[in-house]
Amino acid sequence: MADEILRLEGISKHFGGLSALQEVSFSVEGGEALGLVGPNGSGKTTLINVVCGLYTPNAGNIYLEGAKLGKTTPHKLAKSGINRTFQVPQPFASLTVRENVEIAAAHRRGDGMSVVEILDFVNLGKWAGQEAGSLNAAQQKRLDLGRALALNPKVLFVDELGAGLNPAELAEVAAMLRSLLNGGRALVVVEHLMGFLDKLVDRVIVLNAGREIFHGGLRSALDDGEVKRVFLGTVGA
Amino acid sequence: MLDSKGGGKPLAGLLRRKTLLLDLLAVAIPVIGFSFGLNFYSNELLLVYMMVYVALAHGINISYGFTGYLPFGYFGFFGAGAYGATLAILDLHVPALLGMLFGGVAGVLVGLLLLPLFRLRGAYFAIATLAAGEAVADIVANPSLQSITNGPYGENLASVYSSGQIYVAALVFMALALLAVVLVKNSRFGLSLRAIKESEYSAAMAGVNVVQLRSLAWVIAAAIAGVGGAIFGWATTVFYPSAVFDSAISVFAIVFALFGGTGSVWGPTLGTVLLYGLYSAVGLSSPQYFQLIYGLAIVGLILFAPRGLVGFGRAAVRRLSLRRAGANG
Amino acid sequence: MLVEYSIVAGVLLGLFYALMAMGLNLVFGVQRIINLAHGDMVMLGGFGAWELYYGYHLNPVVAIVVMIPITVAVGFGLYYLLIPRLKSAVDFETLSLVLFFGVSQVVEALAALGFGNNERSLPVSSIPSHPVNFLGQPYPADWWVAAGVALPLLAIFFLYLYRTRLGRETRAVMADEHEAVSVGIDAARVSAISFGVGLALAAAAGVLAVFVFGGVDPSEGVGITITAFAIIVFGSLGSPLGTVVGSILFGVAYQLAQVYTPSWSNLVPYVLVIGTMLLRPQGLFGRRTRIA
Repeated sequence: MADEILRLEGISKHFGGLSALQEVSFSVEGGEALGLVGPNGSGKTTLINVVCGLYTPNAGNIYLEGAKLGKTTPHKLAKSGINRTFQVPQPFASLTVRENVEIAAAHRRGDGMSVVEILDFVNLGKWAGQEAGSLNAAQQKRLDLGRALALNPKVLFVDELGAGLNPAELAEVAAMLRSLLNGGRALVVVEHLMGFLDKLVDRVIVLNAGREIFHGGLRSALDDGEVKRVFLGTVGA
Repeated sequence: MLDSKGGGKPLAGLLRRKTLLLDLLAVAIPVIGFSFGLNFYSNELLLVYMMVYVALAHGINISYGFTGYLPFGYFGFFGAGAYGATLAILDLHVPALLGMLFGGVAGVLVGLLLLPLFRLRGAYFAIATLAAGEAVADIVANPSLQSITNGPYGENLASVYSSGQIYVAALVFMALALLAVVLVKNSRFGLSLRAIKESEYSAAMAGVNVVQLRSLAWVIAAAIAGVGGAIFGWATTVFYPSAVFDSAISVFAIVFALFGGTGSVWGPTLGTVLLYGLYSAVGLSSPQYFQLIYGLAIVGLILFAPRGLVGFGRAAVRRLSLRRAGANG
Repeated sequence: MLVEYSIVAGVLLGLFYALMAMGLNLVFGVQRIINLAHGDMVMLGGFGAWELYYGYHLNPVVAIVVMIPITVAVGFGLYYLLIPRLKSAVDFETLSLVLFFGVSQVVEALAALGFGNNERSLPVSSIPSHPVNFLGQPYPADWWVAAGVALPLLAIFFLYLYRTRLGRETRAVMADEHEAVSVGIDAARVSAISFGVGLALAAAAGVLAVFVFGGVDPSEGVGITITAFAIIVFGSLGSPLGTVVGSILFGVAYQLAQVYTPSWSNLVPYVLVIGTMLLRPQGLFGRRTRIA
């Protein structure tokens, strides 16, 4: 069995009276991709925001490689190996594609892919000298992934990377993400597209209204009564 | 993972060296120009003021151009610098030149005091600094503090006036401010600041220590304003609180910087020399007409060339080269 | 006694401040623009009253009624002249701040050229001038006049905002411009009108300001803008009721400071704006939706 990279214990987050996350717990191992699914507003992105330091949880603990993370800041988390992509990528629009990756690579601890390798990996080598603002949406998503990879994260949260891509692009992105699992990295993949997840993860957590309602294999999740009810009409296939 | 060599292609490195060279020229040419300034123009005080404003515009450049925070209350640092230097010279009896550094320290202290304002963004930040600047002014000019600051009656530095020293101090100060901008622009620090300006949280997720770098830029801007105020006070000799805590100082510096174009080394310098030159030609004799022209210039600038002269120039060059590329292709 | 005096005086002047600040909040609420020229509109209102009084022997209170339609029209035009071009800018909020600073400079310069640099005041005889006693203490008549004029004007403004179709549309744009457009509201027209209404409120307050401040001069705009901004931040940006309550509290605080530490009382608006932004950025009446 591989080593545990990230573990969440009883994470809760509320905003005023609204409970966005209630006692969410899970762990993910090196070389493993975990799926995080649920309808809109179920707390997926909130969970990423909590783990990546944008919000402080109201309760619960987070452990990175067994060590408890105290109160910290996003940039320290990024350096210590937790990173994410954004549902709506926010590249540094006036910086070049290369600079976008360089700025992150400069803060990496230890080894990792070079800036050129990363740009090739996310297929943006040709656009390296161009301003990031001039990229199209799919390219910006890949750049966002490249920016996250530059810090050589131990665990990477991928927030709806597949949305808006055509089937060929989806397959390419899935392959790209699978190859990231080599070398003991863990992935947590938030996605609506079940076909995409199916190619990538074996285990999923299903969230609804901030609570975990299912934890297990993707196939059995699709057969689960509560999951079906929650997703009625949203899963499609 | 293969190796961890940096990703600089030779071409990129060459490009970078070329922009660095151009940036250094943007330091050298104004410095040389002002060194011989008195040969062309005999109003020494005006040249000193102009150099101070070049530096101030670059302080705005660092704060707004690179980090996106517009300090409308920039005059608060400026006035604090003027008073810090004056009190050091008159009460602690430090030499006038050293007193200028005290001005910088006073600016930095006010800057540190205002760091909590960074919890605010955009226009809120701008207005809050304006209120803070006015508050500092009100405190310094308060009759209750007459024993320390001489309250509303101002200060007199006639005992340490020295035109030669003042001119050289202003020149060196302007050179240092320009160099600071070149360093910021061509360093990873500057790159990180631009990233913060675009998206704070993304920058943090790229490992950038947002709070630290932003505060550092702020303190540099505050130090520039502090020393600027100190030299301004020294050159003016007798000044009232209302002269050094004047919101017009912020606005001049902001408009000079925006007019020339922020984020560059040439822009704010050009903006200052042109607009302050105009001010000296028209503004001193008929301030209302100047204020009118000035106001119209701001409106026109924001509506028609929000990226300033330098941005305007760049766009023109790009259009030209595109047309040429089109003709060749 | 002094406390009582400060409270009554604060409420009277607070109503005037509410009128003075309301337009700024309306324009902010609708357009997310901080109109740095707001104080200059107040100043122009004062000069307008002066010209109407000495040119046409018009009572200042009547002058307000005359000026309202004119200023609404001017604001309507000014909106279309300036804002649509700016809307596409990347840094809209900050650039609009600088833009309106430019406008403020132009207005100030024109006022100084047209009216001269000196302070002008209206004779006290133009309005009732005998101090009015209340609970055994006298208060200057012009404070009563200011409160007495501000109160009905504010009432009319609230009726417009909450009881008319245009007001409903205005509130819709304040809540969410895109939503408002998607249900068929002409957001640009609504914004232009509210810009005009904001100007009219400022000008009306300007007439009263000639008495409350003891005169009007071309350079008073910046200080008025900051005070008005302090009030609307304190009361909550985008909340008209917050502006009224915030103004009255500000009036009382300012009067108390005037009575107990007169030399530091000018700090009140600055402390108020910075303190509110840092401690409770949503203001008195705000929900924690939009963090400044």
